[in-house]
Amino acid sequence: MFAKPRLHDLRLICSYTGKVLIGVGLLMALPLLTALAFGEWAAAVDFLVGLGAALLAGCLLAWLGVGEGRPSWIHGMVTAAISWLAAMAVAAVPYWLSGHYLSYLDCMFDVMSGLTTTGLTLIQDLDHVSISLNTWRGLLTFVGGQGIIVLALAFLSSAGGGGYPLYVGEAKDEKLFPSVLHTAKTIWKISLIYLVVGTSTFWVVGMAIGLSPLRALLHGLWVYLAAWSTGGFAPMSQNILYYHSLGYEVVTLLFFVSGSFNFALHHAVWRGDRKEMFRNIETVSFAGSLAALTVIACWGLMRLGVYPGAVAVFRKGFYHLISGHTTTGFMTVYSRQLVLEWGEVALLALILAMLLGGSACSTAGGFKALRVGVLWKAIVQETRRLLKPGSAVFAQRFHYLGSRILGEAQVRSAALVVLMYLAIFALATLVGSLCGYPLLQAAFEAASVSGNVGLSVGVTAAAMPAVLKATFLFNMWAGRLEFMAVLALFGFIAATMRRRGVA
Amino acid sequence: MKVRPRSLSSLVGGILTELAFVALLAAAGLLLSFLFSLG
Repeated sequence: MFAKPRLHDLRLICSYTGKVLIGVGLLMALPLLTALAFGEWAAAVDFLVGLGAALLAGCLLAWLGVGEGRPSWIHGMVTAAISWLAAMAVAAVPYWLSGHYLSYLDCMFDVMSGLTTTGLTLIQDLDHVSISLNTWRGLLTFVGGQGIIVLALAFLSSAGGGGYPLYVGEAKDEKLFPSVLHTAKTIWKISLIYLVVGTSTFWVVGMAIGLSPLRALLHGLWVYLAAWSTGGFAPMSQNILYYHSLGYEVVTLLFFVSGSFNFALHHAVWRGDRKEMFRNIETVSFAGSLAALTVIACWGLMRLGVYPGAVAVFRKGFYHLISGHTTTGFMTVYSRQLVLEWGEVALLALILAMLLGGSACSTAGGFKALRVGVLWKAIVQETRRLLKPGSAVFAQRFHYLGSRILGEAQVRSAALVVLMYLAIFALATLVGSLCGYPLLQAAFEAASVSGNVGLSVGVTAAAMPAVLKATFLFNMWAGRLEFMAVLALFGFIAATMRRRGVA
Repeated sequence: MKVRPRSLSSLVGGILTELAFVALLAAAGLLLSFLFSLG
């Protein structure tokens, strides 16, 4: 039970939330400049209004706050949870003003989908969206993948060592350096280096498949932002199917799988420890589950004779499986084809892949390969314990940036997070079923939102009930923050509402 | 963790290692697709 929060606690949370909103406002300057550069005057006004609203709200909160106090764990967790909701509300302003949405709830749904790198969308007439709005969609995904708190820490805050609770609140607990500020900056450095490599590659491949140089560059940038962030937004309503190119699909695959790697792994490999790539528990666990699920999905697809040959199975079956497993959500078929053609076995493999997810401390969602690996090692350890004499003592080891001994606390923590994911998955499946969708389709969409994936069988649409939109929105938010910050916010609200504090 | 000082070559080597790992995964996927397409 939390102690009843004092005014100082609320002001500290206001202060940091205000800084995050100022960061979101400043970020809107990029699409604003894009709109001005391309002569999109109506869109420029939309972004100017949005920027003004974000700065006004941010400055007001920062003014109400107490400046740069040293945040405790509870401050960090609550600030992370509130900041994501506040950022969602202000970042939706340009969406709403663009006229491409039917309601403000749809706008907030799309912002949360972008920030959490889910990639589901309720937008209307995506194929005719302005260049600046597409840039804003890509930026939201990119920033959300790295973390909006990480952005604020890296560029706006002088919280220094005191910023670690804020960083952890956003479900990134890997410290690359003792200083959290240095860690946040390194995460951004890795992403920006890949931004140059990825956009250039997409640009060249885009021109090779017949896009004009400018169009190839813009599409390359947007698709890269969505790929690296394991987001899944694409500038065209047909998603990656629009390009009808094996080369383009393979390049997206290269970058979204790289984006699903742990930032600590990138850091280690870039510093010269290349072997880490092939023995890290996360890459090994990911490769193992991917292979097993590919066998199941391919078997399901070939049993029904869905695709005629190896290349078609690879481009449709394997591509969606790895897109789901990395929680990206890029698609090369229409949503309804999954329901009408794939059959239950392949869809179940896809649901499992979406739930398992990518690496911890990456842009990916889901259970995370680290937790899957840890739980697998725990099962192996328990089995060995049962088979050995009672007096035998042994330690289960695993490799994660060095050799480590499996501890009780790691197993408990991994199991709790996986249970929480399963709980929100069950909740969204139940609400989907109650709204009248078939169980398998409700479960598929629930796995997609809970794991921040973005693959869809067509349930997610502007016409779906508001209660389902709200449930999906909650799942995206809770799944991205990995529950700790969300639970802390609920506890904080309950403690605030109590009449008397607990000493 | 064994680390060496950062340089452009280690950066390029690191990125290539990561992309090679992904290419291996994709090749394994293509191989499995081929095996299943045989029947």
